This record gives sequence, structure tokens and C-alpha cells, in this order.
Amino acid sequence: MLAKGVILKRMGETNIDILKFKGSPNFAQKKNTENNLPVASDKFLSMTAREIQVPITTLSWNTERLVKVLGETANNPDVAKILKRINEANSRLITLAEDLLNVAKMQEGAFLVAKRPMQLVEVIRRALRSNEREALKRGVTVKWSADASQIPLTLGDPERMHQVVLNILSNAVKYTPRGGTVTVTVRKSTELAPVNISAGIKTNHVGSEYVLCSVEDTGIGISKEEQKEVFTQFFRSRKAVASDEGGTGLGLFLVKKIVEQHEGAIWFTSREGYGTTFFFTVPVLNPYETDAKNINN
Amino acid sequence: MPKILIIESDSALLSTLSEELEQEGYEIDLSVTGGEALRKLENKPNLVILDGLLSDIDGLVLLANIKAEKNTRDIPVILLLESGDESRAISASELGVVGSIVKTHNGLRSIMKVVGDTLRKTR
Repeated sequence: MLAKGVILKRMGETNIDILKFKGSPNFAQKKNTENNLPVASDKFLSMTAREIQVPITTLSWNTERLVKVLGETANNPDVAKILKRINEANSRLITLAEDLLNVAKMQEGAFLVAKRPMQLVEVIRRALRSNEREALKRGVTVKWSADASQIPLTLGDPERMHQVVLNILSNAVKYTPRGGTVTVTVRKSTELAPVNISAGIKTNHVGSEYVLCSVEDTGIGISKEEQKEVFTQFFRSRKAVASDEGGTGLGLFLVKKIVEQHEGAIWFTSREGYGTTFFFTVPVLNPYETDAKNINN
Repeated sequence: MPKILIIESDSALLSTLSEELEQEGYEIDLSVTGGEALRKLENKPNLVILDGLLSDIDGLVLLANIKAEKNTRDIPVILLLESGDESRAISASELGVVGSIVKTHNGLRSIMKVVGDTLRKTR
């Protein structure tokens, strides 16, 4: 928590009094018309998200030093339990800071997507590797198979899409009980999204092709009444909160924005107590449209 | 004993990093501002660890200064970045930095490894 009256001084920006920001009556009402996001004045959010990383790093590095100083004592079950909690809390803080920073960048129009020819299968494989240890630790089986030669190239930003896949995948693993399964598939599709959910998203273009990725879990599921809130900022389902798992409620909001910046679509089906399947599509690379405008969009 | 100059505006991070490097057997010089760093560079450190966001100057501007000066251009520089500033690593690389490290993504062990590898290569 930031202290009352603290002044932020980094970034070469004009100093901003936090109290002035917190008291601003316009914060909730102001909207960025492009993304329909509330706008925090004077880059407050991005500065805070950056500034908070300094104490997070201090905490993280000193925990590492503490483990070294403790030596064998760090393996004592009570000490190990405390260290584990500190590390988990720190990971949650890092995620929170990064999510807030990405939201702030969207508000400022600085959230850039650098598109280039991209093999989504490779992006998914990388995300699977990043999540492998967590799935193992939680006793969740992750099934995956795809023949990269059958999946066409798409146009996208591999780093941003990695963020998309990893977010969906880590949620699936996080909210699936031990012994459960997460199944990741990828295939070609002629639809941006199924007709019944296309309304309000985007029109399917006849003749267009997409790569469709799905992540199916056997987890806690999302209740019917909460499903319409899933992609909104700071949403966390009752069950997710009750599960005691960390989360900012910004991950899926960012994921949807990124997919839409790729001219794709994202949706899900879910049944409480049985599991959830997330789907997203990305347009196939059209070799006749790989001009500079598309690549740099 | 290799001499390392750490340029970092946050005192807690500066102390943490310097204590760890000292334990690894390096001789450490510290600077909390870019201005002070320019003076300390005259002592010819074997390596500089530079924070990307100093209180008085942009780390990349200081880096450009280091690489433009005849007396300091050969000193290897490792840049420390905040998460979200990864794009600055490209500019830093063009300016001649040996490596950029995102602080929240890398523990001290990773930093010690980069420091050790860099010093071995430049010896």
C-alpha cells in the first residue's frame, strides 16, 4: 500500500501527488473511447506499476539472499513453508504489477502489437513448457498434440500471443483439481467464431481462414450468472476467490484485448463443477496481404 | 580482483546487489546518480551495472555517454530494466550494452552468472 502523501519521482515525469489522484472525482467517469477503459490521469497507473517493481525486486532478491544465509535451516519444514509463502506472494505482486502496467499502456495507446508471420503451434509449445512445472506440482495432466505442418502461419506478435496462451493455460491448471486434465488442441477453422456467439464480436468473413486453439479443463467451472463478467476488468468468480488462488482479475481482460488486436475472437463454454473450455481464433496469414501496413499494425 | 561499478538510484536494491557481489569476491563501487557515476567511471571499473531509470538521468542516456567517451567505451555495461521496459533492451543493445536484465524476472543467481560470464569474456 502506498503511503499517504507519497510523491512519485521516477520516469522524469512531473511529480504527482497520489492524494490528488485518489480524490479525483473524474476517475471512474473518464473513458478511453477506443478501449472503453477508465482513464487514470497523468499516467498515474503506469508510474505506480513501474514504481512498485522496485520494492518487489528488493523483496525477491533479499528472500534469495536469506535462503542462502539460512543454509540447511531453509529446508526445515516450518521455514520452508514460510519461504514458499513469501515467494508465492511475490509472484502474485509481480503479476499484478505487470497486468496493471499492460492496462495502463492500453489506456495510453502504448500497448503495441508487433505482428509478423507466426506459427501459433510454436507459441503454444512455449507456453506449455512455461507451465509444465506448475501442472506437475498440482498433479494436473496436460494433454497436447498438433501437427505443425497442418497448421498454417498466422499474422501475430509471438510475445503477446504467448501471454494469451499462458494466461488461459495457467488458469486452466490453477482451477483444475488434482488428478484432473487440461487438453490443448489447435486446428484450422473457417469461422472467426461460432455464429451463436459471433453477434457482438465481429462478422465472419466468407472465405477467410483461421487457426483455432482450445484449452479444455476439468476444473471448477464458471457459474451461468458470472459468465458474462469473465472478460471484464477485475472480475474473479466466487469460486476462484474461495479457492484461495491468487489472481488480479486483469488477465482475461488483457487476453481478450490482445486477441482482438490480432483480428481474432475469444469465447468459452463452461459448466459449474465440470469444467471450462476457452477458444480463440487468429486469422491465417494471407500471403497477398503481408504488406508493411499489416505487419506493423 | 575485478572492480564493478553499480549505478542504481534505489538504496535498498543498491545495497542488496553490492552485498551479494562483494560476497562473490568482487570489489564494488557505488553510485546513486548518473552525475556521480560519470566521476566514478574515471576509476576504470572492469564492469558497470546500470539501472535503466536513474533519478537524475535516463540510464540509456548515461549508457550513450559511456559508449561515446574514448576512456570508457570499452567498459562492459549490463543494464537493469523494469518489466514493461523490455523494448529499451533493443536500444541498449544498439548502444553496445553486453546484456539487459529484467529485474523482476531474474534472481540474483542469474545476475551473478551474467556478471561472471561477462568478466570472463573480457579478461
